[in-house]
Amino acid sequence: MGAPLESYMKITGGTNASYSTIYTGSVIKIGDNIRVSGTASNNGVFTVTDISTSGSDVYYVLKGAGVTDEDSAGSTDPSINVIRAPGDKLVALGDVDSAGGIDVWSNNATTDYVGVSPTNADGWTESAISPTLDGDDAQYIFHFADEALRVCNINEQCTSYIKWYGYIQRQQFSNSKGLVFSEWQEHPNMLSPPKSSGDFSYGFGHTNHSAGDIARYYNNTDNRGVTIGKEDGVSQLRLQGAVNTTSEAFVFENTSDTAILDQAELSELVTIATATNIAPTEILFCKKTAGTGSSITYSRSHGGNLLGTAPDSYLDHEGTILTRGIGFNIAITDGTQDGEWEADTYEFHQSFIYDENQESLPVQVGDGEDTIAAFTHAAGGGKALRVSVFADNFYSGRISGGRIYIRKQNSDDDLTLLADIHIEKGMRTSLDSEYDGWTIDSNNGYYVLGAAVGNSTKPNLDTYDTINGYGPDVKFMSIGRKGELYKASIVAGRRTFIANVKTFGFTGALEKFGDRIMYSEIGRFDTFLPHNFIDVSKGDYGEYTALESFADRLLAFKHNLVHIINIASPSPASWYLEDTVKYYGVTFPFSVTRTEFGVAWANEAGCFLYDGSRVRNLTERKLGVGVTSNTQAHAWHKIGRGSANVKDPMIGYDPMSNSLIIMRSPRHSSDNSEQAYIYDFDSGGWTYDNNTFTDGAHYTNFITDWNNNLTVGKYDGSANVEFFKYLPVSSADSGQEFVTRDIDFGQPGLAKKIYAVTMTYRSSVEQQTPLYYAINGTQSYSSFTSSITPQGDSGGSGYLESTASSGATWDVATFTASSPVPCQSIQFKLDLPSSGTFEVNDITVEYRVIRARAAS
Amino acid sequence: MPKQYYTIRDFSGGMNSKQDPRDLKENECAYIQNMSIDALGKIKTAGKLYAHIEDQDGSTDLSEYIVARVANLDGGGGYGLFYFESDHSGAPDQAITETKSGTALVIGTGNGNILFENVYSNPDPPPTTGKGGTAS
Repeated sequence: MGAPLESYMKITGGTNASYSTIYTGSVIKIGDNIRVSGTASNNGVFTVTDISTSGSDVYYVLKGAGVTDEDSAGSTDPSINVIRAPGDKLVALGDVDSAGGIDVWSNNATTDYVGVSPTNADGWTESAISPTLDGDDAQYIFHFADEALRVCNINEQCTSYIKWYGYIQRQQFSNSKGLVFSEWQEHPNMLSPPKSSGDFSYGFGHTNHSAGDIARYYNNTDNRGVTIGKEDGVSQLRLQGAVNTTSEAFVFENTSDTAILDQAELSELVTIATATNIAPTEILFCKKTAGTGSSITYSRSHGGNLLGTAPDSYLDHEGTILTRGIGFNIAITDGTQDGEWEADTYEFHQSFIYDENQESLPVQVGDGEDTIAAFTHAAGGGKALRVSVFADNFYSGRISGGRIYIRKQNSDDDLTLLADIHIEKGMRTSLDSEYDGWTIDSNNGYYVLGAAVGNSTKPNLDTYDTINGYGPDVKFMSIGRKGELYKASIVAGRRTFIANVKTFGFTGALEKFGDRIMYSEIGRFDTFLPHNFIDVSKGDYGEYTALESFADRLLAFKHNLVHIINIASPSPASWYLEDTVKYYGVTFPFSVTRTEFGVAWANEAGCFLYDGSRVRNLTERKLGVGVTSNTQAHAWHKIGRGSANVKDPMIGYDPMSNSLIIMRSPRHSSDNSEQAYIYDFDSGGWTYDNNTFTDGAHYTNFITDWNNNLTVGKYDGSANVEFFKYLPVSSADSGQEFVTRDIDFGQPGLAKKIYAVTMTYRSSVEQQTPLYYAINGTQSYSSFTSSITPQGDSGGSGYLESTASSGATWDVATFTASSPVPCQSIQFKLDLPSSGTFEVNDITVEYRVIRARAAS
Repeated sequence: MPKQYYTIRDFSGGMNSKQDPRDLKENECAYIQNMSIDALGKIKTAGKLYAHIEDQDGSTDLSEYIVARVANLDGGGGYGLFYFESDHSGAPDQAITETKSGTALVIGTGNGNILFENVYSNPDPPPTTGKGGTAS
């Protein structure tokens, strides 16, 4: 093979391990993405599409960002990060303390499952997501769609944000100096528009289509543009106290030494101590605003190490604190060629696009002056428009682009698309044209200049409304500002449904809509519009507590009822309330789970299953709800309510054993919170359990792991949350017991005598007097003590022997009373006092009917 | 009357605490505690929560499992756990900073160095040898 005929990276002599082990160690493989940094011209993300050799040289064919000839050592050594996408198993675990946030575990990142050395080898990333600013007892709920996790703390006593956590792979401006992301990032769930003051954006319009001047991007006099300096009414802000290279805590102050902590916004990018036209040494990413705390949390070295020096250290009082990438500047003039633009004065609006498909509301473009007003352009008419876009060097990772719209000044016309901006590809003036790529403008920013003849010959047919399906005048289109939350969420039919919503959106004040279900646009899982809601019923006492879906139905739970809403139609107008099931509601979302047979839930009245057509009560005619027919049995309502009447049973479905597990209280809000019932779908039978869970411990909600095991986290007051799975594997334990039905041998009216009971069994340990009987329905039990065979070797008389091979071998036990037991009916109870495993295959009763004697 | 034998060999009905014990079906019990009916035809010691490391048999250790984590659940029980899968890895990228152990990665033309070539701006390919190549 020769050298490839496509752009490549070459390792000279790379087949010889004495020169390089990159090829000989198969460190880079075909299909890998590599992120190159530290080079003069080739920083960026590339895909390796082929690997070939010629002589001893190794060639890696690269696709993606453009490759530039480079064969001279620069001031820094390069580095290559290999990004392989083999898929990963991930777990999010919320800490109830506000400082804890949500840790994320990656199976791929786990190099030491014991987690000994180094400490991060256990695969956990600490506080990967930080939704909570203030307050403890966080209660996190999640939903996952299109490669991103959404997290909401539903505890209203906390101050928190709804967070988005997703994988971002992007090289901004397709330029080696642009930020390079190939990582999981957290962002607010809000789809914020470009930053504005009053009604107008900080990003401004002008008429200069030339580059090479910072004034195209930033008005230094009035602090307007694609980036702005942080300031308050006193002065520009500066750093309060020195910050080393590792600290994430930053405090800003004005020149009066007053700490200013309210100037930070979640997910903003900040640079410190470098002017707008100077390459910064580090990008800081706002991970957590101050809340009631004393500092703002910024992640360090966001998007790479830039000049090869990040993270940087900062001195006390260092200033020029810039918020980066807050919008776009535009230049608008008439082009020289003929066009179809009418003579009129036009205004402009700009938006951000998130995740490639979710567009923010637009904000009107300002003029860049201190007394910020509308930027307008008076078109001469009959000409094309010349449109140029100027961008900052850095934008928040979730922003994938933006749009510029135009309409006649002060009109109510639709906002017509003027420019479609892509953060990597550049700008185009219609949705079906090719992008004109970005050009770097020294350290000022990036630009796409329209040709002098004009690059927009006529108004597009596309408007904000036609592109998005809704108008720009909606009150809001996303949820996630500080304090906003929802109490339940589910993804169904390519939409997100949220319920019991608390938002500023409808009235401007933070208001709770407890019986409102909102839904996102299709495929845009964070786009919630004011009119996208379902109010099935209002004012009927109760707010939604949980959502689940099955078979094109949305099940919306309140504490006292369930709404079953048919959402099969792609059009919300065709959705309808199929049924309202009263008395069957739940109080907490963890009282609902989804199974392969339908949605199951538990409350104080029973355990229910919706199978797509009807609701069945799985406890009906099986378990006593209020009272029980057996003195030992636990009435269901005690499980459903708990001793404190909190009504927090937790239900989980284990696919491996095909069973439901309902525990009394994962929050230990009840006495005996370990009590549980287990329902076996295969047999339709119930059993009671108090060995699986621990009274006093706190449990997470259930999840189903990658092996289809029902899994839960347990916290018992020690430092760790330990993870467990339910397995239907017998494990030595005490407290095993069962009671047969009251047997009348089919002849209830006649007396009988019981002579002996034989039982095919196997047992890992000896058991003392394991079998009891009660006659005539009294449930007052006597033991078979006079003769138990085989007799225990160790315990002697009254003990049932263990069976061979540690209980693996079957044996037959015989129990005989001191004299035949006269009865009308008899009930047997197996009660095992010793911890061990035990199985019963069959029980045979030897009896005689006393024909002449009726039962008395 | 001769002695008779009555055999219980099916426990699959589980427990029934609703109906009178005398009215239960043949395969039902009045009460079952910490025993399981999932193995049809017998009743046995119930399963339980096993450490996440355990395989389905409850005794073999898995090579991959969720590792314990320092966190507090007191006050947030019933919430806070989510499992998801992604095409993208949560593991940090593998960073290559050395061309071989102890030797930094350098751009250049020497042995072990890397260089970048844009073939579209250099239409004449570098000298090649071997199958399909053109020696010069």
